[in-house]
Amino acid sequence: MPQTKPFLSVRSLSHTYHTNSGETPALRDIHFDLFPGEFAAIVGPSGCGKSTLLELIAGLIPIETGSLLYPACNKTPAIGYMLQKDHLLEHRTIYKNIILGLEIQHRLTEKNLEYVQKLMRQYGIADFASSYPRELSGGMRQRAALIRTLALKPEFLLLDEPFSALDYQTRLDVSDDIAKIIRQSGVTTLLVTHDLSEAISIADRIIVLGKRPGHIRKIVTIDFKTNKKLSSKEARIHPKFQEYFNQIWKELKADE
Amino acid sequence: MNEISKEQLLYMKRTRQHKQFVLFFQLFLFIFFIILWEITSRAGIINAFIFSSPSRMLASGKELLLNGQLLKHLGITLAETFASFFLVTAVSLFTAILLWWNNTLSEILEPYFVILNSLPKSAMAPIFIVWLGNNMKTIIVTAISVAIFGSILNLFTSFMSTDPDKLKLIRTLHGSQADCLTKVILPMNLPTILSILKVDIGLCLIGVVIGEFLAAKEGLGYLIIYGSQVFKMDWVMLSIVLLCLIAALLYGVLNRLEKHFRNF
Repeated sequence: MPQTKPFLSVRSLSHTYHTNSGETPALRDIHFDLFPGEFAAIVGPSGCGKSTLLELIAGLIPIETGSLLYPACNKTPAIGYMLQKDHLLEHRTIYKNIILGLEIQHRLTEKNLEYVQKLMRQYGIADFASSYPRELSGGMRQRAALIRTLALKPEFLLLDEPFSALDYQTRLDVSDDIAKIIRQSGVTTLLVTHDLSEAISIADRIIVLGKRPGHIRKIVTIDFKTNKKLSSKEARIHPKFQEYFNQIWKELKADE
Repeated sequence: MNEISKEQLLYMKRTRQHKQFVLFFQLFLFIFFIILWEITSRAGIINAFIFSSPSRMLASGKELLLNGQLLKHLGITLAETFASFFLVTAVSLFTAILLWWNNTLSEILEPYFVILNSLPKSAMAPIFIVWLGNNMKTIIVTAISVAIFGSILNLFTSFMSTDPDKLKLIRTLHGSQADCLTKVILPMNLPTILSILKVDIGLCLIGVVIGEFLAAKEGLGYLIIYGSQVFKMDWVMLSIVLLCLIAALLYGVLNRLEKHFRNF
């Protein structure tokens, strides 16, 4: 993979939070590349600045030091962002929730709406179009939230612990499900999670961050050496899974 | 599971009986009070001239209805209440949105609103008479002053306590602050807005009566003051009962509206 131009290059990115009681360094000298179509995960202890890194990349907070480059496309790509909870608006139907982004960006064209219909059929949520969010299960809600993001045809997906609000069982299903959907779409993705197993089971590469101020401890490429990409459940029982787990776990522990 | 179990039927019967029991005593209390009032005044236990009585109220109500006075006073009070209520709603919504929109502005103005809200508003009515004259303008402004500051503060607080992650969502979809307002703040706070309006309409009625006490030649508040001055206690009691009915009615209408939107 390294011979292709990187999709995203993060260069010497640092960030500090300012309050009246002082400064809190959140990230220090973050440096990595992401390649087109890659699914990367960022893991690290809570409070290590994982979410800050994502917010910086998404442009939700301005960059103080360092830079973000997109060598492969030479411009900032359309970014889709998924939050910890689905944040479906309870006063809107599922369909209305899904087209929220298009509505905000005044892109409710016939073509885009057809695409939304296609996504909804493809991911089995078409029957719930006129339901309200509270009528759906946690997994279905998260799907709706993903389709809301995909409807905008993002070229780069940022996932901020999108499964952490779900119970364990649903979580396994939904993470598998959503990883599959994302892989099909081929969008370059950066996932933030504190769940190591989740990261190993769905990502191609794992960026391990250390304690505050968040810094890169290690970058681990995950490769189960199989012909097709394993589902997250299959990956979890693969012998190499434990190897990767121990390796990264040791890295995280060494930081304490 | 179409068949309803015996236990379920029994449960349903019990809740129904309980409801009937409550309703019965609600009605009973009312009728008992009316009858007691009527009997004691007829028997001379209480002075009907001072305390009036249900039959005297009905008689004077009929008289006032026939000469058109009753509807005139009632209409004026209602019109003033509605006028002030709509102004309070419009101005407080607008102001609360403005304060939410601009943090610095809300920081600057908040202490003023807090002080104005805790001021006993009836204290300002005499000033309004001097400024605006002995007329309906004064009454409406008095009513507005009673409701508006609390309304603004409550709306603003409710807007500010909206889940910040929902606003973050709008931003991740590249939405503007106007999108935050129309897609999240207003629709999500609709039930709260309606329950604030429910309080407002009651406050407006209070304000209108205060205003009518001080500066009116018409309206139920005027009828109360005038009636008490000429010792027409029947009029006073009748007006109070009518105010009760208006308050209950307006509250009921807004309550229905609120319930309707809560189901949403």
